Amino acid sequence: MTETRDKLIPGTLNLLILKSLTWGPLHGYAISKWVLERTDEVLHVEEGVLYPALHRLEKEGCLEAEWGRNDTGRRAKFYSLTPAGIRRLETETARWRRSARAVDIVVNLKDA
Amino acid sequence: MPGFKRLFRRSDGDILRDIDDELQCHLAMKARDLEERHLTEADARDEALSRFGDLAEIRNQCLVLQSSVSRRRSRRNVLDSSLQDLRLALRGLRRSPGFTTVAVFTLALGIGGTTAIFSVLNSVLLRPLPYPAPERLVQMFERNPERAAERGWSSADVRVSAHNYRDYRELNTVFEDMGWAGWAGNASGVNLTGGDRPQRIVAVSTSASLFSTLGVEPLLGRTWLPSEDGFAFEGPRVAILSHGLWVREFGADPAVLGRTITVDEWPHTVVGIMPPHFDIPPLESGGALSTRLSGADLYVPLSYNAFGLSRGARQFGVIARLREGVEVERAEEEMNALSEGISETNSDVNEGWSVRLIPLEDLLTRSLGPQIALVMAAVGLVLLIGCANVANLLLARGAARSPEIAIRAALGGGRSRIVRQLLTESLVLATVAGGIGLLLAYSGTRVLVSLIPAGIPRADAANIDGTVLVFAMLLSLGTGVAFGIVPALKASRADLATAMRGGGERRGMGSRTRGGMSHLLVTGEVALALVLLVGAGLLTRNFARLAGADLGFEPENLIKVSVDLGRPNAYNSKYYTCDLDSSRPLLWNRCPPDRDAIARFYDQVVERVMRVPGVRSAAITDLAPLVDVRGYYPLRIPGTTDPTAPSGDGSGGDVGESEPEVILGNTDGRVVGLGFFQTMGMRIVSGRDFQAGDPTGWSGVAVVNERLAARAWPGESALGKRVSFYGGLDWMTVIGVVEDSRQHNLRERLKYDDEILESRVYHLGHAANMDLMVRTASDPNAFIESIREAVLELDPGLPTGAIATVEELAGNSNAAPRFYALVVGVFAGFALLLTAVGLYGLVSFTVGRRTKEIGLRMALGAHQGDIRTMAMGHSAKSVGLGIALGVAGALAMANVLETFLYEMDAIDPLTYVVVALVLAVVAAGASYVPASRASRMNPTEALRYD
Repeated sequence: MTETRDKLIPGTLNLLILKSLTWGPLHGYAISKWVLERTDEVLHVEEGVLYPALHRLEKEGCLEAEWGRNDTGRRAKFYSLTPAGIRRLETETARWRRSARAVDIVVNLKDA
Repeated sequence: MPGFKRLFRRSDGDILRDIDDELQCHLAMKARDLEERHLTEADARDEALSRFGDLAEIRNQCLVLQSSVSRRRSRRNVLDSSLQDLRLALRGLRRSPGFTTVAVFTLALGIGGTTAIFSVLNSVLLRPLPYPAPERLVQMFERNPERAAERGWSSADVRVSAHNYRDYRELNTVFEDMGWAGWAGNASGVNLTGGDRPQRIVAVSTSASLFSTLGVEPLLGRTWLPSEDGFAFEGPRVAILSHGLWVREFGADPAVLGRTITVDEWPHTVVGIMPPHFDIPPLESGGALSTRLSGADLYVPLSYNAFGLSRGARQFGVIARLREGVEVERAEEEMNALSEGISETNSDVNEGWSVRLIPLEDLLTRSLGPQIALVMAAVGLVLLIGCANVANLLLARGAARSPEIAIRAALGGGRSRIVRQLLTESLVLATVAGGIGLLLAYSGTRVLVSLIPAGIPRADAANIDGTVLVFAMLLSLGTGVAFGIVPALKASRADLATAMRGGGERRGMGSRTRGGMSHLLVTGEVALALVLLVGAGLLTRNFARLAGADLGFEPENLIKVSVDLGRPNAYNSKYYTCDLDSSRPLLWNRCPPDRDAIARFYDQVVERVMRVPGVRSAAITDLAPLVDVRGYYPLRIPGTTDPTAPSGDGSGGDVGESEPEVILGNTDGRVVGLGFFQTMGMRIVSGRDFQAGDPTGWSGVAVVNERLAARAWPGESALGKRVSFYGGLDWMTVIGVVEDSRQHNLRERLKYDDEILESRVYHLGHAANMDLMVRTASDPNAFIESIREAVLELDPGLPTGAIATVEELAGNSNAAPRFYALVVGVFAGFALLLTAVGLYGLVSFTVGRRTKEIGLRMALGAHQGDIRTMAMGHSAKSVGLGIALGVAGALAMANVLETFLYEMDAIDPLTYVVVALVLAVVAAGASYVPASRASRMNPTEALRYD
């Protein structure tokens, strides 16, 4: 199963998390599921990195957390963007675009 | 968002729970999704878990992040991180109940003991004297070092004469006021009648100015009126009750004011009641006596004319209050100038005397400091040993936890942060121990107070007050830091790589230095325990020698009965020479007893008591052995040219030679009746005993003991020699020499050499206050009532004086050494126990750390004995070093102990050797157990051990 999935490109985890939350508050599992679904099951966010990243973003003030209930009524922690998070998303997005374009240029070079 | 903030103010435990909830929630949802893909429930959960990765690791990282979130969010609350440390510490301690219990109880013992002792110290020494501005109160002494040396007084400072007191009070400019106090009756008390039953109570006579000098008002009523006050008292008799007596005997009834009570047969009108806990300061009597004026039940004005006494009669305890801003030194200067002025007109009695002022506070500390310091030092050493033990436990624990600590450090915990957290753990331990210690101290103080020998003022008022609470708190905190700081610093230095390689506590670099530190601590414990054990050993041997000492008479089946005729009054006037009119106060020093009447009376008493079935013999003496007061007379031995001295019959020496008169200071003189030596069980060594028909009084015949004979006439026979009491003109002829005996109370013996103190002259005679010594055939307690009845039969109105067996008196006399031996002994026992526990722990730990090595050695053919030797050898070095250091320490402290040893040298080789052996054996035992356990290990299992 895992062979069909790609490792996350370093530096994109925060971007993905922040992006996922622009549609509204989500809990951790929903975020990983969102990433998996929106990338056609290509990008898989491992829990081992997801949760530390969530907590770090929370610590940095980009996310806010609130306890709520998931669809089965279980106690779940929902994250949402703070204004700082939105700004962070903008800079992360811009940086991604720059570097993606740069990588793209290199990749599209014809053989010399 | 308020809810958000509330979330992050939550405790560390809550944070962890939140993290767990979050992760669990994730796992559950993932499992559910997997299940939908037709996996079984269990498989789904396993799959979810296995995909999750290292759950513990994630949890840990989140905790660190989340903790800092929490900290950052509530930075305004400075306490918060400390609270968080506290919660972590509590959780950590809850997780290892064994460690916590041992540590807490070790410390509680030390803290409790120290606090209990401190509460006594606080009550006796530190609690301010219960008077306003106590720092300005001084006791005044008159001082004559020359006279003191000549007469062998324990202190050159004596009390003040009435004449000098009056002059000083009138002429000085440095005192606000002065007052005096002295025993009314004597130290054994006065008789109080008129209540439910006759009472023997302690009465003190005072000046009115004593109360105002101390700054204390009566609770009810008044103090002395000018007409009642002073030395030339002529008014009606009045009395002030202590609060204790008022409550005890008069049911705290205010109507007692104005009522008449009878004190030593004299009617006294109650005019006042003192407030609760009032006591006059424990004035030193100085000079040759050592009684203290405190603990009175009743206060009366002086009942005789003190100016009828000589200016040289210095018998009033004087207290003065310095004017504000006046230094003690300046006041002393002025008083000395006044004293010189007095000497100009009274050179005969004042020449050579100066005035000394000692602040009351210093007086207390000076006299009681060493005793309390001894007990405090003993318990302090136990506390130190306890600290070392707990520090060792913490070191072991720190080593076991090094992976956890290393992770925290690696995740950015910061070294100071980790030290702080570990220290918090120590402080929590110490605080819990302090709380339990306080409970121990609460009950311990009561036990201690009940054991404290008499003569320590206000010891019974010891309790846990604010000062003691603060002390216990600071002590606990200090203890926590003391035993916590080194292990914390050590643990925080843990190296991640080493620690994570697993079993850091067994192989890590840090563990070797840790081992060194542990051995150092055990060395210290052994050394401290040895010091305590030596102290306990010396004190115990000292007490054993005291208790087993040959007194020179037979204390078994011997009773002392006080038959006190009392001060002259209407009832007992038949024993006195003067005419008594009960309406007028009596100047008793002008009313000597009727010698014939009292001689007749005491003869009858002896004769009557001898008729009591089971009584073997009975005799009177003016002073029973082993009581608190001592008889004191300097003795004159005539020179051969002294015209007033008739030469001895035959052996007195050649008249042609000129020998100067000799005065032997500090000789004990005893007035006895016929049959005294027989009753006491003392042997006449040469010459003869007193006989019926021998002249009585100071002009008759004397029996001296061997010590005196050796002092006065070395190398000669004492028989036929002449002696006279100092100041007396009559000579007594020595007719016999009796064997030495030990009759002085221990308190006296502390200050003097036995050779001088117990050199004694006996002569026949009577006084108005005699003790009857009764030798019984069997258990003396069975005779007390019949003897009392026999005395009362002769005179039903006589105060029934104190009756005690001489063995009881001997026990009282040895109460203080027994107390110190007991207390130091108990603490030394604790010290030994704690040291053994510490050593056991250390060896177990070392062996555990080297399990693999031991397994390897055994696999390679080492014998059980080799393993044992190896395991014990390491600790043996620490123990040996500790014993050496301890011996050095004990020797260094020998002069401190010297004060408490009457029978022993503080450097007693036997005690040192025995104590060192005991310690070595206990140490060997404590390390043998874990070492032999190690040697019985199965090598295969040991090798697999990780």
